[in-house]
Amino acid sequence: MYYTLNPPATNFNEHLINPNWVHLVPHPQPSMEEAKVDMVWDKSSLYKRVWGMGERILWAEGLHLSFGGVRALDGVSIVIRKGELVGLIGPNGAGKTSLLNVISGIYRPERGRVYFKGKDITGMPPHERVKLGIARTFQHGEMFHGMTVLEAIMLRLHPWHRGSIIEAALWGFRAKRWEVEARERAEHIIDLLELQEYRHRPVGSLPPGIQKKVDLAAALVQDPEVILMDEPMAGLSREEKEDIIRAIIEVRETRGTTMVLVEHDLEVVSDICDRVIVMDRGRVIFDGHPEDAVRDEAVITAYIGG
Amino acid sequence: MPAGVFKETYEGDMAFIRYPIHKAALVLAVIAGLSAPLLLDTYYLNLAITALIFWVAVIGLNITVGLAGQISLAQAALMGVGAYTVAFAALKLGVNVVLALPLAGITAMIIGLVLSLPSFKLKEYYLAMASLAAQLLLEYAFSRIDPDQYTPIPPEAKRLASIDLNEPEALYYFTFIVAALMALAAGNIARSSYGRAMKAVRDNDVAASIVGVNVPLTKAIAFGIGGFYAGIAGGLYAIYSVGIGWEAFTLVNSIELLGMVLIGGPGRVVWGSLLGVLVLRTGWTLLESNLVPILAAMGFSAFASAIKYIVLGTLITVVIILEPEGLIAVLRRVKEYFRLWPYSY
Ligand SMILES: Nc1ncnc2c1ncn2[C@@H]1O[C@H](COP(=O)(O)OP(=O)(O)OP(=O)(O)O)[C@@H](O)[C@H]1O
Ligand SMILES: [Mg+2]
Repeated sequence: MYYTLNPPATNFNEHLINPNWVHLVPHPQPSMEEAKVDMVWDKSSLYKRVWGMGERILWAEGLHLSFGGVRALDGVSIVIRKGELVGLIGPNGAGKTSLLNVISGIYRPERGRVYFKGKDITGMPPHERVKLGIARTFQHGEMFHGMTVLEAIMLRLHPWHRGSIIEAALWGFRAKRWEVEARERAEHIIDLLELQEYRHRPVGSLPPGIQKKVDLAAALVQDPEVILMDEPMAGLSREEKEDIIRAIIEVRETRGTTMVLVEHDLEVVSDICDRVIVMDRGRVIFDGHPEDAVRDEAVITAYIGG
Repeated sequence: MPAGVFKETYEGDMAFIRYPIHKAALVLAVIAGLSAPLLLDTYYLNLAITALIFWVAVIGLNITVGLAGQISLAQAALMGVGAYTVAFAALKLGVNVVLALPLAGITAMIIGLVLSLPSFKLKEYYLAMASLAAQLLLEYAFSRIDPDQYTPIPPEAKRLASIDLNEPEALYYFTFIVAALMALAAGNIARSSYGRAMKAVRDNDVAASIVGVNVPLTKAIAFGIGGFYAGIAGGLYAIYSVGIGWEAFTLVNSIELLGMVLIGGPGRVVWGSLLGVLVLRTGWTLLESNLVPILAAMGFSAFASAIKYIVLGTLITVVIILEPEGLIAVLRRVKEYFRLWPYSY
């Protein structure tokens, strides 16, 4: 089966008249028995076995955010557990990017809090969150079109750069050592994503598929604990998607990175995600197994536009 | 593959001078620079000294504007801060000008850091307005500390051991060495992690913060460096001058410096800046010295300076429209053409 959800335009008044929209979906907390059942019946994924059992690493409570009259986030609460790969789906304008932006620190929520590893990070500047271990990819691929692939990747190591500006000016001591070290880490990721031939090419001159790969590579070079990926596969060809999926799986298996994946392709989501969170009009309308999501009435209504 | 080989390759790949042609060009430039006093008479030597001084100021502005994307209309005022620091240190405290030079850089750097504060909240036109206000405020301050528009630089303060900077040749070599070191440092900053962070802030500051760049700090660093370079340039200008007056540090001068950045190549910190100075300052001076007598003969002497700004303004506009990356990009394209020649595709 191959579903691509291409949802209709959002009507913002709908949720006001539909009492069935749930404000807050309780987080699935399966009992030991359920978890065991998973273990016995689902050997396809290492991570599915521990679904819902892990320690929470990133969570948000009651986020509200609006732009003028538009409620981008209307009481969103989510929990991401260590090692999970969570799919975040929803029609256009559902608030997925806004949610990631609040987690990254670009938008300050009007209400609600964001926690990372037990620490309240709601007011923390974005660059400090990166340093804590939250990386991010962009919906439109690598943003710095004037930089070469190598520069764009090495840029993302800047939060860990320790040499002073004077050392940089003299090109001595830590500045030089840093450059070599950063280059080595960048080359490692370039190898992983097979970007060798694009190394010295300006990002803007590359096809969109490669720009997305560069963006993913750049986020991965930060060796994050959690990576927030905003539609890393949108608009890509079948093979390009497979490349990205392969990289995602490889990184999970080698580093155990926790991942949040915004994606419209339901097949991809049910193939690789342990859990799916469905958003619509700024609210979470479903949170559970991907297989259940396609049968869920609220989800179907949201997508069909009922 | 052994790890050591890897490292060497990366270092080589990131080196300042990567290709033999770079090395040849650099050696040639250094030889030309060092032999200039032997070839040039005093008039042209002075022209070369001012070119070097303005090169330093434009490099600094290019870091603030071209690399970090923070518009500034106060670079000439910051030069003034450096110039008056040297002048007053020499005149009032009897400090040697060479020793006062770092002080000039640091004073202007501090003012540059203060100027970075509006950039945390403002962008583009509004930021330009804020720096314009700073420029005018500093001009006013200069007019109060230097009401006669003339602060002499005592010649005794220009002697250090056996070096006498009152001599044009000695002054030329001194300026050349300072400018070369400043240019080298700027090139290093531009290719360092700080340089990448500045480019990211310039291209998209929101995205820059998402990828982990401390945006306010990076802006502050860019303004601080811009100020430091302006201060050193101003200090050199004071050393070069018999006396200084604040009419050299007005808004028009700031706009000219900005024009040099835009024409030479914004973001091309070292060579773009040099090209901007050579075209807008040196080239213009040479042209003017030939043009003004002609205009005067034609009875247009009153328009000579107006024509200067009309021509400069037009030139800047044309370059910005046709080649936003500056004239250095044209040179690069020519170089690229010959590198690929005869296969131009
Ligand atoms: N910076 C902004 N200014 C104004 N409105 C915004 C802004 N960002 C998001 N919105 C609005 O908030 C709502 C949620 O947008 P968001 O980008 O989060 O949706 P999304 O789920 O990511 O959609 P898509 O699938 O199209 O990427 C939309 O109605 C959008 O128009
Ligand atoms: Mg989006």
